[in-house]
Amino acid sequence: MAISSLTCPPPVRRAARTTSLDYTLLHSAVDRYVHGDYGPALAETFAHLFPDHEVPDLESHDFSFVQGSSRVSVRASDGMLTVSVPLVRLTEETITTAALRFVLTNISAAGQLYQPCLRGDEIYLEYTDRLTRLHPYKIREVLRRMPVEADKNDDWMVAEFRCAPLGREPIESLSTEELERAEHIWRTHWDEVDELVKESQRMRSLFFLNEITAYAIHHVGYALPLSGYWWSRISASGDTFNDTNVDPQTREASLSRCVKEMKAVTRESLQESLGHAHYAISPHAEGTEKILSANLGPEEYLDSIVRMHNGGRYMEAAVGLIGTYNYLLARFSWPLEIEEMMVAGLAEATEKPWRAAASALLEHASTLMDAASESEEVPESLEEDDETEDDETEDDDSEDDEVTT
Amino acid sequence: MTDFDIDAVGVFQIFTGGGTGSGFLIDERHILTNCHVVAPYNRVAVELRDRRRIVGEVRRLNPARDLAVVELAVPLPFNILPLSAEGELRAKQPVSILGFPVGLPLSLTEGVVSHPRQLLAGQHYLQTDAAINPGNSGGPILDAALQVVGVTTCKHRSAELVGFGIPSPDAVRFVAAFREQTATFGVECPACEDLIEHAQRYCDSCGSNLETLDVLRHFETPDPHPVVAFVEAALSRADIDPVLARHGDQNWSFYSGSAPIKIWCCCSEHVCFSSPLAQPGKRSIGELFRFLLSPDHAPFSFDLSGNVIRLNLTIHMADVFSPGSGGDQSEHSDWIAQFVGRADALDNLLIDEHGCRPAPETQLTFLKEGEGAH
Repeated sequence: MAISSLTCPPPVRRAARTTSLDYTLLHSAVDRYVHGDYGPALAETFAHLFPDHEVPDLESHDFSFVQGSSRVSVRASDGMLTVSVPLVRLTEETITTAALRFVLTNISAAGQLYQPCLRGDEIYLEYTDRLTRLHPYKIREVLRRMPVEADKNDDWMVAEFRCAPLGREPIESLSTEELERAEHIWRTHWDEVDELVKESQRMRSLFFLNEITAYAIHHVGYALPLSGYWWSRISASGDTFNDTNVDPQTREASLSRCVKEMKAVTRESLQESLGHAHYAISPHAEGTEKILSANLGPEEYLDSIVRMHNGGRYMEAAVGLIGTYNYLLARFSWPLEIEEMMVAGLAEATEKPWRAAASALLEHASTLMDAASESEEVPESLEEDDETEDDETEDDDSEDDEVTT
Repeated sequence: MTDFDIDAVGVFQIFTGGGTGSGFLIDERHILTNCHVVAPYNRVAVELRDRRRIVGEVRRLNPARDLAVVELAVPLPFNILPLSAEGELRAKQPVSILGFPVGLPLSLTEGVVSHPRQLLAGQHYLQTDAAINPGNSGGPILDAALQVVGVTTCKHRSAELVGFGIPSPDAVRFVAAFREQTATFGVECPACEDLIEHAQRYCDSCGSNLETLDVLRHFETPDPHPVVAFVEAALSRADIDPVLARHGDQNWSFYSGSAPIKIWCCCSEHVCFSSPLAQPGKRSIGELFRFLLSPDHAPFSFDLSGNVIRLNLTIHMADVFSPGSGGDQSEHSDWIAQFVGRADALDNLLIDEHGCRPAPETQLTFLKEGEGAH
């Protein structure tokens, strides 16, 4: 029987509640750096990034913090600052050549300040720079991205290449009740995505394919405290099925393979990838009005959803809206009030027939936008939003019909 | 078209800080191309078949007819394609286009004359259905007798197989005028086509306002973007002529010995330096990978792109725009110089000591494959 609704249960994942970052500190740090005041610039940059931590004088004391399964060490000596994260250790059991090729192919890269390195048999991610050259933006980039990279790859390398964990931080296990719920969410999710893939094959709609591929990733990302091997597997498949530049048939095939693989995961294996991780720096970007508006405001995307809803294409509209709510909850951190509203919105749509789910979420989105614009806790936009926009801006071609070659 | 040796023909790729295009010899020392291919640069790079580049000085521009003459630093002994003085083309007459579409090596596409004198925006063009793509600009359009009947210039944005060339009589007049003149550099007035030798508000001959006709910018060298200034200053310190390294907007490519070097801005935050050096061999790969991941290479690093080993260096924009250490960028310039030197040494080391094979792009491979070419 064709799928007639989606399940949107309350998440097992705990939202990362961190204090909002004080951007005046970052701007002040940049100002100090430009004027050659390097020590205070460094201190203010760390104060900006770690509002909930007491950061010592970095020029005389080491500092470390936990990001998921990774512990990041910051050490200054001889006028240099080194930031490092242990990744894994190579052992006699390790498929060494494959592991090192993976590091060189997937973790080393042009265009990133930190790089992996091999010290004896231990692999680290490292960044070293002169204290007088530590522009706050460089530190911010390294401290945000490098631990995410380590957190993403350490468990994968242990499972895939039989590496040994290295300096791995423990992750809080789920309670029995949480594990029950997590497994139920997992099984229901992949069963539903399986049905959605069949609908996509029947409909041959690129819009619908985009929506279900995004939903496949973001629902588990939001609902489950998933990391380690299975999260890496989903992300690796998602690089294909969620990439709109890849041809639709390849994406559909990749998603089908992923669904099959995820449905076969045993409870014991899933349990190893579940746990409540702690992050000193929020792994999620701060949610802003601008982001909400781009996804649920009166812009092109929502216009398409409304047209589908009005045209009787309820399933596409409902899956699109449920997927968008999951995306916003999975990728961004929101003030409690806004997050609770989004969760409530999903609760209104859960297991409802497509038409009712779409109607409920369309109405809810409007209320949510109003609440966000009235809330003093939701910033309009952040520097990061603008940076992202710059990166994604396409070349502005002229409107002339003739184009020089 | 018979007995046509594409490797012997005098058509070359032109590189500037704005992009790439094509151009063809009108004699051993001069290349004809489009104005939009070279402007606003007064020095450009011309790449030969063996990938060596030589400097070309821009001597003449005609912005209205989109033509330019570039003088080469050395004469090039390649086949010169004659410019057809006759403009009597007919629809359906076969034509071929030579050039470097989308950065590919010299390529030929074929089609027919769709219209011999299509009127567009007050100018006549040779219209053809032969495929024209970015990079073809400035290349020759040939008839069956291998005479140049047009200079490729543009295509219709929203239509397939609608391309345009400057008719050869216009090119013949432009080249003839250039040969009669003695000025080192000049721009033809868009209104009367008389030569303007210096930046001046009005044309001496026809009185046109050259400022409003956008001629004056051809006499000015625009200030480079800070990233361009930073990279090119560093390249100069490494004894690399930046003009020969330019490969479009904030992109550079050149060879350091046998090692290809590529420089580009991957995002708004980083300037990337990368050199594809070699491919792993079949033995001791584990040892090779350990060598590549050694921390001793810092600030440089290696990665694998497909099966090609690349040497990389990343410089943050903050070091370009707000360098620390009292605003001194010299340490980064030193890194760039070291990067250029190391890339040349490392490809040999990887092959000699780690059993690697040359990467497809290395000059070493190219020279072996290119034996016998001009």
